[in-house]
Amino acid sequence: MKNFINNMKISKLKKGKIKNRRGQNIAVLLEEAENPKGLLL
Amino acid sequence: MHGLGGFKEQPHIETFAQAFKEKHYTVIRFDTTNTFGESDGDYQDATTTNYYEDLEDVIKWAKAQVWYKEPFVLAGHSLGGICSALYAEKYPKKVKALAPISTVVSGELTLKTDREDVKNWEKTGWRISQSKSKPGVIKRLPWSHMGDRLKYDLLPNVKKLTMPVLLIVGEKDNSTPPEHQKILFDKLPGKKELHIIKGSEHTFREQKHLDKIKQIFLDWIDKL
Repeated sequence: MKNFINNMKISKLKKGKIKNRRGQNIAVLLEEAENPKGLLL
Repeated sequence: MHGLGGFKEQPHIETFAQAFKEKHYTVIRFDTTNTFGESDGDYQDATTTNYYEDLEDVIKWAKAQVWYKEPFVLAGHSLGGICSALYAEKYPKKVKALAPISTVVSGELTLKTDREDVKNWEKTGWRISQSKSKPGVIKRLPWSHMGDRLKYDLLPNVKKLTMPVLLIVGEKDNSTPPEHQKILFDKLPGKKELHIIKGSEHTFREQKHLDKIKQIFLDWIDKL
């Protein structure tokens, strides 16, 4: 998991790539709400 | 979460996301590996196992982020539906509510669908089709995908799905037909809804169907 983009300020990231357990890239899109009522995955 | 050969920008996936955004949720979408999105891998290697593991890995990553909130809502379409529900069965306390849409219920039920393409797939060893979501893309999937899918079944652990569950399916869905959804719906132990979208097939493409689905989601979110 340490190759994930943990060092970036994720709250500002809209799109990025993280690594899965097999070392492959997974494209992720974050749309962060202000004062969020919850999280959808 | 998208289904087999899908991706995070498909109109129905956007529709699910839009409803939650309008209700002030933070939304994470992703492309699994082995599909036609922006992630690594080849479609012919797509399995239920790799889709499920990617979901687990995305959630593990999300857990380390400042915006992470638990329990969260899971929504998925088709193969993404069964993966979301399998996660909810394994970690029910982490999941506030679950929306497996047009969901695969089990590999066994997939195999029992009386579809010519499934029979031909087994006979030839390959399912070859054109992508409707990505025009020009040919999808080639080996029969071994089904061997992997047969390892999965939502029904044995369905009692763990005590959270609110929203099921939606197209009336003309012949991949995960309304009869399959009814089998799952009848066994769900908690608050549950089943909506059948008149005239729709497995993947919702028509705007009127997408509008209907969005309204169902908006109403459901208000009840959570």
